[in-house]
Amino acid sequence: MIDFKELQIGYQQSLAKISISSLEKGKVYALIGSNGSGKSTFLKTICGQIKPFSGQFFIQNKNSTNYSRIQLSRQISFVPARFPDVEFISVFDFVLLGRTPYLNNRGIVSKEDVAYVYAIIERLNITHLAEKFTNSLSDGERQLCAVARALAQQTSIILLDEPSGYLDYKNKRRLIELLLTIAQEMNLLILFSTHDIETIMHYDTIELLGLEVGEQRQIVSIDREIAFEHLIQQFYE
Amino acid sequence: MNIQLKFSFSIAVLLVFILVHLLIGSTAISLADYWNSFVNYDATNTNHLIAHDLRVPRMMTAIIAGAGLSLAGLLMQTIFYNPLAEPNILGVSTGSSLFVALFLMTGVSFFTSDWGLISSALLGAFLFGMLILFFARFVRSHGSLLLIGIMLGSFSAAFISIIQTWSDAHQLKLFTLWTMGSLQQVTYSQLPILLILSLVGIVASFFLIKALNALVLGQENAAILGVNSKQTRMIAILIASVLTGIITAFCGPIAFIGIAVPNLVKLVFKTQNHRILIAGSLIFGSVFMLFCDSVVQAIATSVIVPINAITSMIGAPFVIYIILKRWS
Repeated sequence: MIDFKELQIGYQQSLAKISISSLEKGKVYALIGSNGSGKSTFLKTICGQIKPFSGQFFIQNKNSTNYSRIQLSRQISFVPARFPDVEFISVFDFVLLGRTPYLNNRGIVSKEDVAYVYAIIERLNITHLAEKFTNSLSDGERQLCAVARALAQQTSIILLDEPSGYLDYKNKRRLIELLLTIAQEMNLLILFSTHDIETIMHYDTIELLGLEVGEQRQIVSIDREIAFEHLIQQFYE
Repeated sequence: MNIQLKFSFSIAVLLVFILVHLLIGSTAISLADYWNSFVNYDATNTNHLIAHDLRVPRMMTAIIAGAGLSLAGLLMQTIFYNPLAEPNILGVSTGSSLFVALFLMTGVSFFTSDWGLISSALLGAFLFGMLILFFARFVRSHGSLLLIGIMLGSFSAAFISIIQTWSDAHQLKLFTLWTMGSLQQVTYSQLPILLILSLVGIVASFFLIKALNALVLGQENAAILGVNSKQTRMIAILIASVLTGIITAFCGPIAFIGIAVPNLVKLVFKTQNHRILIAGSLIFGSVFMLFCDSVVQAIATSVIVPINAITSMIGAPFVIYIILKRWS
C-alpha cells in the first residue's frame, strides 16, 4: 500500500530515515518516539503537507509526487492532534466536511453524500450526537467525530496524530479497539502516533513502529518480544 | 425555527424594509407614484422625478452596499479566522480612501471622473487587501492582525491629511464630501457599474463555498480535504477588495456593517455552512443598510447625517457585544 524508497523526512535538515519497506492495508500501525523526534513530520510527509527531505514513497505503486492535491485527499485522511475549536458546527456538518474532496466548488452535497455520512455516524454509534455542536462535546466524543470525518473521506489510508492524547484510559482503549475493528472491517491502513505504550502493548494485532533516538535516527519496525526497558532505552533515552 | 423558515422570514423583513425605505423621507411619495413613475413617467411631475430618479436608485444602492460589504466582511472573517475582521478594520477601505484621495487631488481630470474614482478605489482596496494578506502569514493571534489593520488605517489617514493640506479648496471639498459617505449620489447611469461589479463578486463567492467551509476548520484541515488554502484566500481577498472598492468608490467609506452583519447571521442561523452564511449576509446586510438609510432619511428634514455615522452608531455597540460574548 505505502512503499518507502530511501525516504528521509524533515524540513531544513533530515530528521529521520525511514527504514521500513512498506505499510499494508488492513493493519493498524502505532508509531512511538520521544517528543519532537519527528512523528508528526512523518505523518505530515505521508499526507503531502510536507515534502520529503530526500528519497520518495509510493502509494498504491504510484509515486506520491504524482498525486494531485484532490487525488491525495481521496487516498489519505489525517486526524490532527488538536480538534478544531469552531463554534456553530454540528457533528453532522463536521463529518460531512469529510466529503469535501468529492464535491464541486459550490459545495453541493448529494443524497449519496448525506447517506454515506449517516452510515458512518451510525457505525460509530454517535447518532445521538449528530445535531450537537462539536464545541459542546467531551474529548472522547470529539475524537470519535474526528475519526468519523476521516472515514467520511472514504480513503484507504487514515493517519492520526496522537489520537489518544486527551483521552482517559477507558476512552483510549475504546478508540484503539475501534481503529482495529474498522481497519479489518473496511480493509484500511491505519497509522497513528502515540505515547501510550502501555495501552497499545495490550493489543497483539497492532504493528509497532518506533522513531529511534541518537545521531542516525530512523523509523524501524519494533519486535513485540522486546523487553519494555529496552524499548524505552531505544526510543526514549 | 428551521433554516427555510428563517430565510422566508428574513426575506419578508427585507421586503418590509424596502417599502419603509421607499415611503420614508421629507416628501411623501405613495406606492402609486412609484408605479406611475415607471409605467407612465412624467418628467414634469416632481413626485415621479423623486421616485424614479432619487428614491429607487438610493434603495437599490442601499441593498447593493449592505449586501456587498457584509459579504466582504464574511469572506475576510473566514480567511483570517477572525470574527472581528472586516474591510474597514483591516485597512482595505482606508486603502481605497487613500487612493481616492491621491487621485482626486492630483488635479488630473480622468481621476475625478467615475472611472477614475472607481479604478483608484479598486486599486487601493486590492493593494491593501494584499498587504494584510501578506502580514497575516506572520501573525498567529487574532489581536495582532487587527492591530496591523488599524496601523494601516492610521498610516493611510496620516497620508490623506498631508495630501489634504496640499490640495486646493475645490479638491478638498470633493474629497470631504466623498468621505462623509452617502447612498444618494449614485445615479441611474452609475447604477449598472455598481450592480454588475457587485454581482460578479457575489456570484464568484458562491464558487468558493466548498473551500470556505473547509477553511473554517483551519488551514491544516483544509489541506487534508484537498483544498488549496493559498488560492482560496487570494480569490476571497480579491472578491472582498472588488466589493469594498466599488462600494467605497460610490458611497464613501462605510464602517462596521462588515463585522456586525456576518456575526449576526452566524448567531441567527447557528451554522458554518457558507451557502447559508453568504445568502444570510446578503439579506441581513441589505436590511441593515436599508434600516440605517431610513434613519438618515427620517431625520434628514431637521439634520443631515452621513450614513457612516448611523452604521457606526449601531454597529459599534454590537461589536462590543460580540467581543464581550466571545472573550469575556
